[in-house]
Amino acid sequence: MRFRQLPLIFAMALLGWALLASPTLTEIAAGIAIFLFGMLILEQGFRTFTGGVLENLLKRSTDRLWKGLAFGALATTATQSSSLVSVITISFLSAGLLGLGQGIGVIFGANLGTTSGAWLMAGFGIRVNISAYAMPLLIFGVLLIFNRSRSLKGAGYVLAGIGFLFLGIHYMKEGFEAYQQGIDLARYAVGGVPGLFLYILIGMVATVVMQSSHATLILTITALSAGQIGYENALALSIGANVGTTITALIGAGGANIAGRRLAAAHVIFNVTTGLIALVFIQAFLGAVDTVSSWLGIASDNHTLKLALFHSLFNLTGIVIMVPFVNRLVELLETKMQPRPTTLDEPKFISETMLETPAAALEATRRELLRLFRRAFSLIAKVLNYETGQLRQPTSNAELAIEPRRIRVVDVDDRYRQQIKPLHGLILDYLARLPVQGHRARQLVMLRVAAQDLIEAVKDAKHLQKNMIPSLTANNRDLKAEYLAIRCNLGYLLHQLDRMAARAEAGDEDLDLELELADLDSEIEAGDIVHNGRLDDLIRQGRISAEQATSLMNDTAYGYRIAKNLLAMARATFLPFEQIDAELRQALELRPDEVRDILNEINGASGRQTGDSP
Amino acid sequence: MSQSVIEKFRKFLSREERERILKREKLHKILKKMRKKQKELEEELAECHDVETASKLRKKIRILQEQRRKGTEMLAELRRLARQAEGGSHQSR
Repeated sequence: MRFRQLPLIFAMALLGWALLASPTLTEIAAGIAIFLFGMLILEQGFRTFTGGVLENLLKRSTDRLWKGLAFGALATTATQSSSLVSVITISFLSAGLLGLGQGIGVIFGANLGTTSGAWLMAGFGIRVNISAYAMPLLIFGVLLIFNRSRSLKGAGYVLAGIGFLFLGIHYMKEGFEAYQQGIDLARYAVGGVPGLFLYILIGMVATVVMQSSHATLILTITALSAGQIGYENALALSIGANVGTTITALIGAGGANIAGRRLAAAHVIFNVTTGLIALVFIQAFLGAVDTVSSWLGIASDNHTLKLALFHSLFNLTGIVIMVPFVNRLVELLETKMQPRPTTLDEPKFISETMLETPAAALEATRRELLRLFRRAFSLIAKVLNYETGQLRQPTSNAELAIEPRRIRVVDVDDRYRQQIKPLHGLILDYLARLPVQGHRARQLVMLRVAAQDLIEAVKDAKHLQKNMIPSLTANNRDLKAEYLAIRCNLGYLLHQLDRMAARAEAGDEDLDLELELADLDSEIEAGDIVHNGRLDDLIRQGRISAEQATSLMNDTAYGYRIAKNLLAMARATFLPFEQIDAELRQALELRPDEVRDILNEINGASGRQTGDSP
Repeated sequence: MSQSVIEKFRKFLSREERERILKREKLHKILKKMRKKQKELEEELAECHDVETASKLRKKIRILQEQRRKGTEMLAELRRLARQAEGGSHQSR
């Protein structure tokens, strides 16, 4: 047994003793446990039920800061889970689907949205017999959970989650009411500044232990309504809960990349600053709460609703103060929190935290595949004896057709093992662990196939190198010209693909990927010397020997396969799935015979126009 | 009225239905974009006097025509499936 587990065992034993000693405490603790379980079920339900609706909304509604704020507030109010919204936001940010500024907006909004729980509890939860609603909700919820339909199953989880939340609140209320009849905890209340600090600390610890500010607030409101804690102490607890909740974000960011960690840091800065503002100006806030309460018709002795109002007010104040500094905050975080350089066998975009957010995880994998493409690009370029930089600059076919000055042999196996295989392995492992269904499962298969296409292209490049190197220095000028043509065609393809990938990454809306890829496809078909009859001509005219023809035919096939595999990979990965469905992309792809028909038609027309025989 | 609300709710709950609608919308957008691109290329071709460039443009236009033909066929198929699904849901009721 490890020593670090000793504190946990000690705490469990102590809790066990306390539960045995006090049935009332057992009731309250059971209420908290059921409440937290309800939150987990509710979160699970929203994940299943929404089927990516939240994710789609997040993608569409965060191009402006105010939209991000509204999304954060509304999504958290609807799901009653700021942690769900935070985790999705961190995943999207890590996958590059969201900018840091927009992510910060969502997190600020989620802070405001989380205060809705206090309003619901204070306005409705403590006034009615909530357990009467819990039972039917649980019954219908569990019935739906057994349903086969994924959406109905999700709806079942949502209903059961709400049922458990209500049941938990009921037990908490019962527990505090039982306390009321026995002992009065309010007698132990600490007043003044020491009380303020003490209860802030208690609120923080309770939130860290339960990993839910929501649970702390509900517990606080229940205790407040039962008169077991004073109003001022309850306010301090809510400040503590706000600060303590950042621990969830920090834990969530633990497995995230630099973008996720920056967002978590922004979350901490916001909540700590807001907490400090509330602490320093608590008297002003109390005055504001009284004024707004009288406007809203809240009775002066209705402390639970006033607590909810206080919670909303200080979070709103935090947003008003912090929003003008969002750009500076982004700048600060990007300057102070630099990504550490990634090694060759380390992923840059995919992370464990994203596994629960399939849309973000698939997008991150797509970007990781683009990274793999860049490595394959460099390796194939070297095999073809091009400098990587040469293929990245604007270039023409004529420039690429120039014979290389110095011919090098590349150890493809060694480079593959060092630069490609580790990242490819990581991508495959990640995809295997990604829980997806429906169209996302099809996207995943496409990414896996695209990764394989890339690897096949590299392997074919290795085979191509074997005959290409001696042929580029051969005495037979015709043979040399054919290999130079294979090299030039592949070089041009790599150059075009690199250019397209860069434009796609930059979000160039003028990029007609389908057309450009189909155009490249036609170039490949046109350059296929087996189909266009050029190989037969060379043999018939005795310009190459039968042995050379066999090698040339094989190497043309390698070149053709490299090009086709690279194009297939580009179709599946160059654009985000949301912009154009990858399945549609494949459906619009022209078959080789269709491309050849077009080429024959065009060549025929050109021949007629220039007076050649048809 | 109530039937149409039920129908809308059924569509909302059906993942396949949602995906089909989304795909149809995306395809419709792509086809529209392709048609626009084809027109642009045709205008460019009309003003082009260089034989080689004209040949390249003609090839691009033919590729677009062929892609649009495939896309239109697919769109018709998706519409047919949607009608079939609607017919099925009416029959079951």
